[in-house]
Amino acid sequence: MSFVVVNNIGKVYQSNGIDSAVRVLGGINLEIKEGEFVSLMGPSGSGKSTLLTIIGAMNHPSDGRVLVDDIDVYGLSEERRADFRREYLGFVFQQHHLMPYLNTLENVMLPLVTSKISGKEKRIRALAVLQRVGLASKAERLPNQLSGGEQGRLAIARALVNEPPLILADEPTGTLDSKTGVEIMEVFQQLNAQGQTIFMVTHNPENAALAHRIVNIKDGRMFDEIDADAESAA
Amino acid sequence: MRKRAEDHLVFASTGRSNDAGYAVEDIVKQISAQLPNAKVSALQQSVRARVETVDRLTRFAVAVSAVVLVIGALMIFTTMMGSVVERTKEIGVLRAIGLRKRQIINELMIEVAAISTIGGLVGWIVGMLASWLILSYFSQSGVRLEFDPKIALGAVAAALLIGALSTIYPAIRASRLDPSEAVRYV
Repeated sequence: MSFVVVNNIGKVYQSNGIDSAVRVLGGINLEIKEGEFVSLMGPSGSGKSTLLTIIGAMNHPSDGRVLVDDIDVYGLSEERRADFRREYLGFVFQQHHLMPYLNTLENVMLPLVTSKISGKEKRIRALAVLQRVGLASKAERLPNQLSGGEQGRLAIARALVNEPPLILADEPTGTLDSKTGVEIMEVFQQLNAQGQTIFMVTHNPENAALAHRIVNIKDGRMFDEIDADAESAA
Repeated sequence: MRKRAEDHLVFASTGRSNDAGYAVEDIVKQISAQLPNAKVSALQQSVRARVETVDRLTRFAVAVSAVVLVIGALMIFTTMMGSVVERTKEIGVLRAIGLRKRQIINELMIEVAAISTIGGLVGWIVGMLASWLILSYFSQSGVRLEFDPKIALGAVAAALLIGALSTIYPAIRASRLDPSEAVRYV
């Protein structure tokens, strides 16, 4: 049974009326099983990030449906979709988008801001997640006092703190040097080994190959799907 | 012969006609006729003139305050609009991680309420200090500065109200940002 079902998704952007409509995605079908690690690859402008934001309940598709855990994501009201994002999804952005005025611990606690649990419990949960990504000793530091790799791990910690069933990562190593990128990919692999479902957009074939499956997209259409596990076994 | 300076004669009256049936104005005219070098006026008239002057100054001060409040409101509005643009990415991240529109509005309103309260208090303190300095410098009639807690509360309440009213639109605008676009905002 698939955890995520993307059914015939299409997306058309209209900037200045119908005349300038641009179709960025069409006929996308994709399924992600629970505990699976799937990479999405494709050239710039192929619609990768658009697909990620559609699966991420942030970008209403023009056609098709997205089901996550049997929930029709775009059948929800906008406010319920915000609740859905909080409960089901963890985002790791390419630029990390950390709050520069909050320290490491506070950044991780941010998704818990609306949670009804006590402040003490929030701190305990955030510290536990920082421990998982190896940043517990730097809980009081500001993001600009962390290295690029540490900032990446902090972004992952923030995505994990709500214990979401699905992590969505948009080129998480895109701004990092290769050594730091490897460090971040190791964190993703560890999380996946613990059962975390991950969907990752990447340009990097080496990073993509670390997933169970690679989905290729070009000009807004899926053209190839590679079972990375089978390939590496062969 | 030494030229006398013009005298100013002021006298008190109940404001009613006296027993002989003379009105205050008649008495003023009669004394003026007898003392052509003196400027004669009834105390009642002097007080009325002073009260009118103070009233006019009060109305002027209220008008200036109203203009200052409108300018303040416009400054808060433009600052908050700028802040929303500046923080587009941050607001996008907050929306992406699951904050509802109402929660984004609340965040901004709480922030402005805190700033407005501090601003109102600081404004009142600075106003009191400025009044005290000006009074001690210009006034020779022993006018004292009164501490009135109602004015302090009014200043904070006015600052809160103006802050809140000026932030409603920017906050609604912030809450309506598309998270997928906002996180890509450069």
